[in-house]
Amino acid sequence: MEASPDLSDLIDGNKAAWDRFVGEASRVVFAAVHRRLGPAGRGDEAEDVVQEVFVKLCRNDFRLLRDFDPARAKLSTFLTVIATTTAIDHLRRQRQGSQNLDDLPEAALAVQPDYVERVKIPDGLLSGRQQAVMSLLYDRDLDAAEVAGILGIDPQTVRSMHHKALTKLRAHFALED
Amino acid sequence: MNGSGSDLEMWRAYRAATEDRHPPRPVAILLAAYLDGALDEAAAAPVERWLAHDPDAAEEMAILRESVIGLRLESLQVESGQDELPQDGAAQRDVLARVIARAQAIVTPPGVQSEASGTRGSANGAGSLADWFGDLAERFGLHGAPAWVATASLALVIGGLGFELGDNHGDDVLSLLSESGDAGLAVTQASGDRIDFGEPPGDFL
Repeated sequence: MEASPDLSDLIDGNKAAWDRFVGEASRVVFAAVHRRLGPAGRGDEAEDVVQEVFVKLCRNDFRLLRDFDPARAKLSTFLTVIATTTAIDHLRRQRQGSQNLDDLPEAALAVQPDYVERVKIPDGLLSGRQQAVMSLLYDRDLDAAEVAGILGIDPQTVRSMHHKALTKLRAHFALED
Repeated sequence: MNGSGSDLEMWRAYRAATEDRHPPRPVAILLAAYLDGALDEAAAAPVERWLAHDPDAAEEMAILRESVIGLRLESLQVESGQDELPQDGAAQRDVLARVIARAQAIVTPPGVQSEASGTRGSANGAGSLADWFGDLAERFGLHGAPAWVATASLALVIGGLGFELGDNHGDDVLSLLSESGDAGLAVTQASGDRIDFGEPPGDFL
């Protein structure tokens, strides 16, 4: 795909520009959708999901494509995100539609006991990234390397952020006591 | 387990106090910029807040990263001239051709109602008689209602011409017009009857 294609003709409703765009984008979109649906045994639904992606791109006067900014991201990444999230949502809808409550494990239906006393936390005590690191380490029980993979940062940075976040929390809760 | 038991309790207390219940998935351009490493920490905050508070977010982010890595690998293969569809390549090419044709048909030339914008194009299949009439009207710079009037007039002329050619030939022309059903054209048979061209096509979906 072109690194910085001019989408303005397409957004203006130019049919030839749309056809060109589809011709160039289809491979990326199909690959992303199939990559998600194939391993789930739903590869035969890929064509319909790809069509759903292109309809989404057209919707509301090409609103998604109007939002695209080549200065922020590559078009191929942008399309991959839309295609992959559409495929994820497709699988989720199928799963929700066919799931029998009796088949769900007890843990999925359990209500968490409210054992945590709500404390007052000042805004910005932990940064967004520190919160993400803490959540992935403690709630998802991932290790530093796995967290680093998800966040796109170095494992050492993950450990450093973990340490800083704990220091801040300990300081805050020590003051609270 | 990461950290000590007390660290876990501290984190849970923090989380309970600040819980942002299932923040929505960030918009595509933000996720794409994040995956391309183009966001600084401040700009990445909505993405990382989503990661921190949505139980499905971590898995989705891992899937997105894997997808982008796969995309980069395929680009490298294409650039190096390798066959990017090594297995079952012919079948994959057929699928791609079908996918392209279907997606291209979502948008059609201006002057016809569309699912996409409500004002342009329709998702009618290419090649119908209605599309041909629509294209012809567009060539004369007619859009919207004037296009329909021109289309109807032209169809009337052709229909009338058909009658002039004789009974059987006229019937053939009228049959041809009545087959263009997906644009709402409906032709009633018999001399003297008003020809009803129906409503303009509505939204595709």
